[in-house]
Amino acid sequence: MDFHLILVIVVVSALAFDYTNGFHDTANVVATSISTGAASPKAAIAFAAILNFVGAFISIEVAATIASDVVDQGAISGPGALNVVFAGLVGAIAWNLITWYFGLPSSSSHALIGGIVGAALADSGTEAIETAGLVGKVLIPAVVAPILAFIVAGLSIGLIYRIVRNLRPGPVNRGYRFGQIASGGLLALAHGTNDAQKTMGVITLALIADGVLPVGSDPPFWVIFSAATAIALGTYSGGWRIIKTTGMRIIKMDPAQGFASQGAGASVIMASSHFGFPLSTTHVINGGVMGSGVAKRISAVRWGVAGNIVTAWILTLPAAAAIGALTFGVTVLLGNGAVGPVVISVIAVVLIVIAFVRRSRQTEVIDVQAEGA
Amino acid sequence: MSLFASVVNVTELWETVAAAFVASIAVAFVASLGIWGATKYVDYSQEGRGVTAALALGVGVFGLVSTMAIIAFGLFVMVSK
Repeated sequence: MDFHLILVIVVVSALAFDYTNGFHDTANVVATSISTGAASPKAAIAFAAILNFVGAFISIEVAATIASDVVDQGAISGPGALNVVFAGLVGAIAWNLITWYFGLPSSSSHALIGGIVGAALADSGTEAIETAGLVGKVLIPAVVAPILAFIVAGLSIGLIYRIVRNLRPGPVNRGYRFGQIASGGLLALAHGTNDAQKTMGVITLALIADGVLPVGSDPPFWVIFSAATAIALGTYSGGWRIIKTTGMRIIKMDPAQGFASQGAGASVIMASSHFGFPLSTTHVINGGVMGSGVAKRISAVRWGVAGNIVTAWILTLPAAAAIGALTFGVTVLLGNGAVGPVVISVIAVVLIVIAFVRRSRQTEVIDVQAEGA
Repeated sequence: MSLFASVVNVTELWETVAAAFVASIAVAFVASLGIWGATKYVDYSQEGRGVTAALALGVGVFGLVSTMAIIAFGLFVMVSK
């Protein structure tokens, strides 16, 4: 009974993570469209939410990677296994909310993988980690992808400027704003494809650990549908603080740069999803934004802000892993049953509510100050 | 190098890099051709250069159709795996 209660808590936590993932990553998907005036915030977010939902159904390669190539399904089994998955999710959600609170666009995906790895290490040591999968399918693509997006966006914007340099700016800007409807849509689709699958992978891992599914199973349809719905709802709820950082503080963009950076991001994420690499959309789109900025003028990029973002990226895996390990330790102290997850869930919900209330009060103060200025 | 090859599927990684590179550059190129063609079509039409305007329109239509074709092909490859 305890075992299934933990499974329910894990599934709900995974969907909550998926929601925060959409909430947190909205900025990455829509910031460039909004900052170049290609779409209004409401339209961009609604469009992104719908395409996030659709994107979740395109592929299951990334889900398979998360379920089988990060931790050893055989090493984490029995009642403690669900606590590992639960603790990993808590690590990811906590880190997502911490970075959201401070307005830093860190990687939800790496937070999830970091949390799961940290909890698995705390449970079974290094034996539980699929080192080859973690390095080959997560860490190396994590480094390659933003660099690739940076280079591709830079080359794309260079090519674009070469083709349209002698044209009147008015029609050119209108053309690329129109193009951003497609590139922004593709980016949202790519985001849904890659990110929703991570939740599908975690829920599948939990179902396997609980014995509901045999080892090596693909995610069932209800898992795909619920993950798609959660990320779409999260995306619709938006993430205004992070939109500001990504769209305006890194670089002031023109529509052609927005088109180039979104196109590069969508291409990299979709190609990676095709081969099952669980990327960070945050890393990729920010790499694309910086690449399209550098190609125009190196000083166009606000390197201080970009440096803060890189710091958040570097901290994400170890910080989420540490929170995941700590959470697992607490669940062990409270026994292997459902008591630990229940207590931690209650504490987490209280902390989340406090964070939201504090954040909204601070935002109101900023709004009032802005109106008074 | 052998250690790297033992943990990384180099072929898949390379195909990812190549696919992303080609798709992104190709879309940027043909979409820009579309915008170039559309803008030049208006300019040449206003100048009364009908034939040149028609050629520019052809380039614009080619760019637009090619952009849509590349995107559709990419999505087809994703869905059909």
